Amino acid sequence: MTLRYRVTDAVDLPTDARHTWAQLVQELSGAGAWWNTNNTFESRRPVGQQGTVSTMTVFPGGVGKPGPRIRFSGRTTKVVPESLLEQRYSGAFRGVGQFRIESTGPGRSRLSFTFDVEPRGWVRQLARVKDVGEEHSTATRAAFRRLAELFAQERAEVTSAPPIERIVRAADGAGLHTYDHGPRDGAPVILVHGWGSRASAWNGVRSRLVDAGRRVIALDLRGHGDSGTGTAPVSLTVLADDLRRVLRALDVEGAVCVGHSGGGLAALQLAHHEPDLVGGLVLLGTAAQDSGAAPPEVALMGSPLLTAALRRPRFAHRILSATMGPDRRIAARDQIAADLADTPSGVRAAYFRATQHVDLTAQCAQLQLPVVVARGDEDKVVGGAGVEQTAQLLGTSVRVVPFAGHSLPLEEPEVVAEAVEEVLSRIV
Amino acid sequence: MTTTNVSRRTMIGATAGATVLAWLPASRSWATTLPSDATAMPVPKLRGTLTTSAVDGYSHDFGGMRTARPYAVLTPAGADDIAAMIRFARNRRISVAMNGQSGETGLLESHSCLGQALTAGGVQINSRGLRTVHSVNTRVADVDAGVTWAELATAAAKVGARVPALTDYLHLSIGGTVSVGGIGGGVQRFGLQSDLVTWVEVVTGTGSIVRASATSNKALFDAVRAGAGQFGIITRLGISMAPAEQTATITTLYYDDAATFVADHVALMEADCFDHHAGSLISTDDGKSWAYSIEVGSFHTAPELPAAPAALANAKDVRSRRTTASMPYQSWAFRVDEFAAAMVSSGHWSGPKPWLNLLVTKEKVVEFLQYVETQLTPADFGAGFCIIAPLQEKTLKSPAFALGNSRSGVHFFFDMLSFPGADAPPVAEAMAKNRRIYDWLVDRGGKRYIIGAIEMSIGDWMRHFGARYTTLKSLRDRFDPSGILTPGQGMFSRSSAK
Repeated sequence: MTLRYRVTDAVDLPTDARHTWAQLVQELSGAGAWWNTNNTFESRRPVGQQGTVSTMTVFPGGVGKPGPRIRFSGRTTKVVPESLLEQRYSGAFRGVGQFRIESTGPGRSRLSFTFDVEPRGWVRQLARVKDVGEEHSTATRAAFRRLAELFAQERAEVTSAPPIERIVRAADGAGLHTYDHGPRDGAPVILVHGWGSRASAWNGVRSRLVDAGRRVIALDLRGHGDSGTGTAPVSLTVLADDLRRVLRALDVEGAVCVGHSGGGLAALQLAHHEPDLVGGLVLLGTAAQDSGAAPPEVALMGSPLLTAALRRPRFAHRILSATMGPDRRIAARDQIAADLADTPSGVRAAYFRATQHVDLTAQCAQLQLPVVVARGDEDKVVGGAGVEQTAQLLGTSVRVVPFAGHSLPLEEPEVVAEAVEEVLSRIV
Repeated sequence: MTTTNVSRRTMIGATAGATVLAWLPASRSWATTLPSDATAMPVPKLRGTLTTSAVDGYSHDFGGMRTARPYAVLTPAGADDIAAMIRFARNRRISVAMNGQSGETGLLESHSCLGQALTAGGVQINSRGLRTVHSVNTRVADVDAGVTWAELATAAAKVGARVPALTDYLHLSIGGTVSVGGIGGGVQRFGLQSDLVTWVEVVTGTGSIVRASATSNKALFDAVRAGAGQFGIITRLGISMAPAEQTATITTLYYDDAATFVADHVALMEADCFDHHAGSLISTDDGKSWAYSIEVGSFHTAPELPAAPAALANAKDVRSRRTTASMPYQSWAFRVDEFAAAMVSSGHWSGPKPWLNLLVTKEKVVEFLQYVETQLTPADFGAGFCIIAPLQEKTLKSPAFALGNSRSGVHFFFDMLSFPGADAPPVAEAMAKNRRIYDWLVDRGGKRYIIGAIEMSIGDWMRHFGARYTTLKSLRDRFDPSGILTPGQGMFSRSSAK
């Protein structure tokens, strides 16, 4: 009778393939952090290198306790970093073990282990009375659970940590409130909100990116949120200089700059003037060339009546569904309205006036960096043609998000986080 | 909780007589013997069955007004069979639609009203091939799309759980009502049945099996919930559940005046304390005028009655007629079964049923009632009934479900569920009346609920979805580029699929 086991166990992990790979290689090389405590792994070299031989010992009764032990050795036969580790076994088990890692999204991965072996020697006798495959599987699953807990714990430590808040002084002395989240050594991302919004509009996007191990910097643009208004008249040049100062103050270079609506214009301006600071762009509902915000619109933005209307949910829905989309009631509406109402009417008017007739098409045509351009297909603020043209100039096409209006950071944080991850993956 | 495999095997065995072996493109037909014809294309390897012998049961639907004979019926053993069939059908322009095979024992059929789930030619998929309740607890259930709400409710009761928002009639496939929305007496607080869905497994029109949720493949997730089967075939889903309650206590309030009825409906919904909320338009005994009723109820487990909510004390109904009754929750959930059995034995079940299902904004609903009351007669209902009750936009989360523009965000659903008798007007007349009422409503910012019998042109659908039509069209092009899925809806320009 031939006895053979082919058992696959898998676990979904709250971290990316890179971290999973690192943990796996460490553990199999003898780190002893999360695999079954009744097992030991020994090896002279990291098992993540082809040809490395490691020794595995299973102490069914516990390490250091008397009783039989199962010993076998594994030679690393295939290595695809962050994806596949194959070992060939000899000793108490003969066969192949394959660890596979696949990325299942930003900051998520799945680890699976296929143990395809024949038991040998006395383990073979044992296998007649015990389901060795099942025992193996139970132990592997327990180890995987511990690994998932370990990552979850690590992540919780980073993500639950409060942001470092700093007030960066602008050239004219305006205090810019910045919020620095996530690990210091994570890939940097800066989030630039649209006119009449604030840093907290990015919360959904930010938490996803921090979960994926990114360093995420959000700020309240001058006059918005907790930031001071300053004395300089608002212009894209002033805003780009504000962003430059924030990144310099936090000592960040090569950041993915994510801009929503007008924030995207500031991001474009920054990328044009300070290429070292910006490694990639994500533009959400941004058109590089303004079709000309009609003067009545600017007047409306400057009206304190708008503030009053926005504070009443019924009016807020009517005004914003008609001007920003989508038509239906959405959960994000309350915050969009509150942020817009919280921005002083003078500031709103100044910002909308500053981007009237703006034209950054020449700058777009010169930029060469990874970029994702997205818009909600029910966006009523920025026309599809303008976004399309912007994308074309940047050498890409528009990602149209179905069922979404203008406020992608609040309506579709998942889509935005994915776009950021995509740009990160294209930055070399 | 798993249904046995035996029943599935028995069913497949029963129809295995005329298994399809190949497709003959020249004659656009299926061969049940392996032909010598060199152009014959062998059908893909399936774990379930593909037959031509069972097509009769798939040629008509519950509405009883349309027939369409499919080429063949697939009883899938899993999503992989549907994927293989779609990949095969796609390149040959063969249309494919899921058929719920729901309803009363012995009378299983699609529960569409106007042939929406049928295919003239094409392949009908028997949803009952996928009928496993994989797991259920008080928070979530994992079910195949062909499981009926009745089966889920029964399985749930065994583990102390219940479905938070059930339709009135439960013998309908879960995949079916989720594909149209699914409105029941829990809609005010829990939304549509499509809003109970936490994730879906979908076979798209390109034959890919995709899992989608609010956080992964969100576009597909949004498209297939209340998406009328236009973007993919739902094969398995997660449903939000609630802990079981033992007793249902239902209070019925009666009204003679439409404005008071509507105001109370809204006030009772805004009280946000009822587990069940519905209402009816009732023909008075002399058949010459109309009255209204509201049904609100609580599900509870303590033996004593829950304290009557304050909202009930403030209602302006005809107090002398108000009634309250308690019954076991499960009897309440299955309350329509008796009615259905009666309809079957009286012969009403199998007749034509020109159902009219509409969504009226709160602002226009009194005017609407005054209008329909001049249009409808008791003969239009026959042995059926007419539901009218409110729902609110803020609890609805399926973007493909179209609603008119309402300042208040409150809409009324109007369901004329007719079971016409011998005195009924001819079907053509009833259909013309449906159209007239629909047009009247559309001019006043209303919408239809996509179940029901209203003939629609592409232009009608564009008007129905408004700006969102373009979104849906691009999703259709993305997920069903060959345009083979569920052609009976007629939402998008006809492909050459047969």
